[in-house]
Amino acid sequence: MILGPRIIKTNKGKYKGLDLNQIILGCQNKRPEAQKALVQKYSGLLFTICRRYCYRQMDARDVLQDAFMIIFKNFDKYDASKGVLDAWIKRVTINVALQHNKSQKIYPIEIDEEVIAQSSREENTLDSLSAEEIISLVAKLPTQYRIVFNLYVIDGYSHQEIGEKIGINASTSRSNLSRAKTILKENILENEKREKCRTTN
Amino acid sequence: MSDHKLEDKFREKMDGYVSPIDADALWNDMQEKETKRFPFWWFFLGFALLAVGSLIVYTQSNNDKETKMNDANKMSVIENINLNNNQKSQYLIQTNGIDNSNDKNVLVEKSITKNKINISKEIDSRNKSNNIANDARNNTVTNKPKSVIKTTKSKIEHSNTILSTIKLDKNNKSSSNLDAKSKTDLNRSEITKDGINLGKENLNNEILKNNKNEDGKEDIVSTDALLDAATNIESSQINLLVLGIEEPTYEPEWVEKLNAKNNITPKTQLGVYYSYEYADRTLEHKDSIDISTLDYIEVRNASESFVESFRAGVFLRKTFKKGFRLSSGIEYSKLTERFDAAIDLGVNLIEGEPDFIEPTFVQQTNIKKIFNRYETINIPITLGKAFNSNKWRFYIDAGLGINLNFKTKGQIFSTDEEVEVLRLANGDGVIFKSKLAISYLASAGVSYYLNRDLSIELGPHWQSTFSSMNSDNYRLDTKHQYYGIKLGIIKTFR
Repeated sequence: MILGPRIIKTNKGKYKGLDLNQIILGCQNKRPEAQKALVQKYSGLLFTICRRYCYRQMDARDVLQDAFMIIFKNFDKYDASKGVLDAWIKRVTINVALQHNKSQKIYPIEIDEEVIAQSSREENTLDSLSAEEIISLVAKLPTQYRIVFNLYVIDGYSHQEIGEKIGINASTSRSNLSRAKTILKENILENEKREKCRTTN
Repeated sequence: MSDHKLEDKFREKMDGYVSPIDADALWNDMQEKETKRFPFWWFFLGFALLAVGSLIVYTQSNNDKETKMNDANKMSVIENINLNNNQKSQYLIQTNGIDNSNDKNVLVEKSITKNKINISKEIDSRNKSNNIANDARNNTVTNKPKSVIKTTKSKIEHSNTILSTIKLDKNNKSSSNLDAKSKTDLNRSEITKDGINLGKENLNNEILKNNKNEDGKEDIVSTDALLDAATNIESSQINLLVLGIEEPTYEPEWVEKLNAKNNITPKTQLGVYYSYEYADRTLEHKDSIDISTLDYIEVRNASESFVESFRAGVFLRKTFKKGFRLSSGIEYSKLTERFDAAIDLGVNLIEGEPDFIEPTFVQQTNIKKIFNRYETINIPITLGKAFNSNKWRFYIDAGLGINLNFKTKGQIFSTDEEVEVLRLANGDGVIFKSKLAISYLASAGVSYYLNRDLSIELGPHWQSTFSSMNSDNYRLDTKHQYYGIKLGIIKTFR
């Protein structure tokens, strides 16, 4: 008989004292206490991923829920010898987010080519942006550009891997990344303009 | 800023960042979502079990009822004949009826002592050719006859006295299923001591039919003839007990023919079938102002090439009197949509050996074939009627089906100029959120009985299915019309 982790229950009903091994053991045995502990431990980190991949925040929350459901359902497939838990659940969450995005339509984007020739003013602007603002900027990208940008720049996939993951060529991935960065630069500059206007007023 | 710097800045900003979220609220939402998902599947499973179970129970109860009725109608013919030289016989006539008021079985024994039965010359000329009992005598003894032979208006005269006694048999419950008409007949038989109750009328008429001389004159009835006649009487009215002889039973050929003709034998059938279909699909938008959906419909319709499907299933069917039948079962169906998308490859040199000095350019397009597949579990419930003609039977069925789309795999077009393709993974149903659908179905055809219990059915099948695409981007109603040929093999349980 496999026993679940020892649970220390506080008066407030929150579970404390579960270390990572206990959480893994509990999740592998479908113990709700351990699953809840996993949600409490990783929801913030995974929510960030979901927000980066989803255009709308409410979608991000749904995707996060779906990701946790899939993680719980398939936890027995997690092999600790092949990697740490963080990496595994991040990968699963990215896959769920990608799946969500596949239902989103792709609209052609008109890109202002002049932006490419802009000065490097956006560097300072980018420094001043918070992580929340950065997430917002990325989320506003058109679906396929957003996916490629996130996968390549932040999650560290190669263009070849991206191509296999979302069914496009590596060259298309490169092209999408380039366009994504162009749009981001454009948006950063617009942000700067808006900030200046606000400051002036 | 260079691209690399931009990337580094983003990585730096995002590294280890944790978005604020109420984990407890998220957990509670997940718990609610989990409980919401649960009843859906159980509802569907429950409905399936209920439909199949109800049919089985109904079928079983009908079989029991039929068995009881057969028991009640049992035509026991026992003979106690002192076949002395005087041809003296004693016949006990037993009614298998019950007392209406006291719910007690009544055994009516009527002794008829006679040397012969004089049969009147007044015979309905229409019955001259009726020689059914004689046919019966020539057939193999296998089973009890169930057919009803209509009585004639002949007048029977008995020369002997009829003695009647009535006994109450409280333990005999076998006839509790007698219908009102039978009970009425019973009462009539109880109160009539001159032998002109309905059952005896039938008996006498049977005797009459079988023993008439060619010239229509009266004849002496033999014991065999009496037995033959007795087996042809409607047993719910009155049965004949001829003590001392084992119950003779017949399965004459004409009984089966009559039964088949009148469709009076309810049956249970178990069958499997396969249907191959062409499917015609229509898309209708829910929001007329949604331009992207309209574009999608346009692209989809323009590129759609062929939609086909097949279905296979097992069903349980109950047939009733006059050929009516009720069927239900479970089936698997798979729908395949094919799209031929013309992808513009631009202006290129012609293939072969291009002339680089004076090149010829052509507009090239590539036709990309895309397949979408939907797998569905269905529960059809149909009501129909069959028309008999010996081994051939024509049928029509119509009803409803509940469809559960449990797996979707395919691709859909975006409306970009480049005709990009968005892929759907197995079973996620990201776009096709409406998984349950209702369908109307109808089929007609012909069935052929290979033998008494095994038959095959073949005929056209039509089905109309309605479902919705409720995705944010594609708010569409989808209708499929299936036109196919259905082939089935059916085993009949009697």
